[in-house]
Amino acid sequence: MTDQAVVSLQNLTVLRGDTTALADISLRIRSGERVALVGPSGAGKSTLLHVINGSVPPTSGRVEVFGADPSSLTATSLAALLARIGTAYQDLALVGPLRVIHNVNAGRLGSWSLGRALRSLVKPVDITAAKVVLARLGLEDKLWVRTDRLSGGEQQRVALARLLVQDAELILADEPIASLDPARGREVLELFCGIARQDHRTLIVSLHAFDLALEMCDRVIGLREGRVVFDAAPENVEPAMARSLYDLGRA
Amino acid sequence: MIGAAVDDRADSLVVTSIATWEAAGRRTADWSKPVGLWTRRLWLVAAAALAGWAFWATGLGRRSLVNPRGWPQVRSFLAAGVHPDLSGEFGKIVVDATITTIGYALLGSLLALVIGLSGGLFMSELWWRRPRHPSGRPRLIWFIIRSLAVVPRGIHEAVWALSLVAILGRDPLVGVLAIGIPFGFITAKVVAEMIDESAVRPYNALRQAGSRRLPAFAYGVVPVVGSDVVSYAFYRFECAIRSSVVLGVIGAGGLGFQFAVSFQAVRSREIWTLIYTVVLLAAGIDWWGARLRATASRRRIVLSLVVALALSILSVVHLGVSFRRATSARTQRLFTRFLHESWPPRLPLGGWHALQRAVLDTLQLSVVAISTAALLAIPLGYLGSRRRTETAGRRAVGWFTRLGLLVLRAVPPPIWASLFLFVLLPGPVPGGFALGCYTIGVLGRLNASVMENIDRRPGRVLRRLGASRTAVLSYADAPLALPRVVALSLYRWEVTIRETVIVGLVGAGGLGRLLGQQQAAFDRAGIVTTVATMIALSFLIDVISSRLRRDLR
Repeated sequence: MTDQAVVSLQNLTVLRGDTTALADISLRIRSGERVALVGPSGAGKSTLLHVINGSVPPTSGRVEVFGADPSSLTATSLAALLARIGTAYQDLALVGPLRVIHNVNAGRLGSWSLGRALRSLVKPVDITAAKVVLARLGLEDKLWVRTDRLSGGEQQRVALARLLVQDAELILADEPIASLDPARGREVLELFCGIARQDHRTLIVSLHAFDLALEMCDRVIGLREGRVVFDAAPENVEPAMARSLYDLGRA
Repeated sequence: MIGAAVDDRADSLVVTSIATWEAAGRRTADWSKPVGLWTRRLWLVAAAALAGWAFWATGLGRRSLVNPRGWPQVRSFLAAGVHPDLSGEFGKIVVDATITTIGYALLGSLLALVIGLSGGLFMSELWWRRPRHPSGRPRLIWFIIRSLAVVPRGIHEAVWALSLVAILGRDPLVGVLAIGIPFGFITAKVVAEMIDESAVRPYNALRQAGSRRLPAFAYGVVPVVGSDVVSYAFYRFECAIRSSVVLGVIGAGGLGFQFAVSFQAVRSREIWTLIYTVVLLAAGIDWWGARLRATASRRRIVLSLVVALALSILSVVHLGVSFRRATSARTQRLFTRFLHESWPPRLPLGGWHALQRAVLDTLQLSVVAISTAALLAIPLGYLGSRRRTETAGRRAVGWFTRLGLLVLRAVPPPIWASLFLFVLLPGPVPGGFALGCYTIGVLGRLNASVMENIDRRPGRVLRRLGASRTAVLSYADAPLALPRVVALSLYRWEVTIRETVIVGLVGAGGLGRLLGQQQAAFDRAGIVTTVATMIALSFLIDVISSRLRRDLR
């Protein structure tokens, strides 16, 4: 089970216009791994996450997520695949005027039928599941509150709850803590890693905070100019490797 | 040109924010207080009851409203649409009428700009703040000025025109003043709103540093709100063109007057020529305004101002506007008589009962119009909104929807009413539908802009987790757009209340018709009562709708 590949990339190259976003990347990410993608801005971290969730097609090379190539699937099987991948965004992308319950339930839209989705807007379904998830995040009393009336931190946790009810096996997070202060950033990252650890989910998170990546993840991949510079367990990451990522002189 | 006007996307954000400024209510309202589910339900029930009453009272479905003998007339009218009257003789009349209409609109908007800029300054909270307490409550005088400014703004252009005719007689100045005064006070409110919204901090910083009031305004306020004011002024000019056509219908000359003449003679081909002309005119001005707002290029603004000024001088000559009559002894005599006859106000013929009847009719007219329009403007706004990616079919549907909305708002409500009277029996139904048509055109465009400018990210996220298009629409796009759509519809309700006057004047009932009767009987004291009632009614609706906007937010 543990060495089953969730994501497998072979000689992946992505060109965006004239620039090479990703160059010849080969990776295997196994189920249950917590992977941090580190590197300077423009290194290709976001592009890599977008390739994995199927929103950017590879220019060449092979991509397999849960054993299937997202770009070759029919609409129906792509929706089924996407329902297994949860993506967290830095800007949360919540719908402000909706109540918390609906924003949380929106995580299930990939697996719900349309009729069920529309019915739930009138009379919410699966309230218990949503409550359990919110309780875990300390928000159980906010179920019926309009989302835009919550504080920034609470909204962050609502977005996380949406990810949790989606019950995704693979969680992708694109710089989820870039706009937070250090203490809050640590808290949010702990939430992500805690969820991944407890429920045995796979987590791929792109980070600028190098030390947090070393502390909380069990695999760190350094990217620079679209190439993998290193790929190692945190205990094997040398300070020199970090310098090689960010050193501006070595272009 | 129509294509460009119908297809401009960059303009939509500005258009929605303009509508928001106009709709801005008392800012003291407490937006943060959460509102319970029950309050919302109560409002919904009340709204449904009001709409139900309004439609029931029209007799829709209970008695025959359709005049079946009108159908052949409609058919021949529609058939005339493919060959409008393009003869040189009528063409000359149309060109002349178009210049007259533009002239009134232009001079009226210039006057409105002058009133708006000076009035806006004195209506802003900022101007009246005590220097030592920048965050304290503004002085009492501010409240008084603001309350007084409600009056000129609450009186419809048509009513201004009728009153001014009594003093000045048939003078071209009447048309200019009738547009300029109410529009000026609306502009003043909007300018005040802009100042208080965006310029408070820079102004206070300058005052704190010891600057006097006027220099602080020049350095801290004018640069901040300047470009917004310019784009608003041109938006007002677009509205003034529509008003100018409407004033024509009641006698000021120009395209509206030609409409009335051609209708009376039932010359369908001429009516079509006029319809095409107003649509082209509206499209052209939309296009010009959109260009101007899209790029805040200084050169284009300066060019527009120069062109506007040159055209204004031409208009003064063409229309023969002069103050000679306004300053004559005769005018003074008539003005004194006007005031004398107007005071004390008197109840209309039929007493309280007639007044109450007219208020209910006006309310009913406005509710029929706004509820029809609000419901239809949602799907039409959706179809008319532009997307980043769209198929050729969707693009065609969008283009035709936008063209339809342009036609709906370009043709003035009294003309719609006359068209409906081909097949509907006279009464509130054709009037309500006519106002409804016009309101769909305006509201559909506003809704489309709202839908173009909602946050697309939540929808994309749901799409990425496998949600269908309809699910995305119902969980992200619709909940994001709906509060603004509802707010805009409520705001248009207030406007519709005022607009009932013009369909009332042509016979649809309510306070407008009462006004028409009083006008014919020279019952000035009665007119004062009717106008005051009108203002009170629109004030009441304003209070209700800002309550509603807050509670439904």
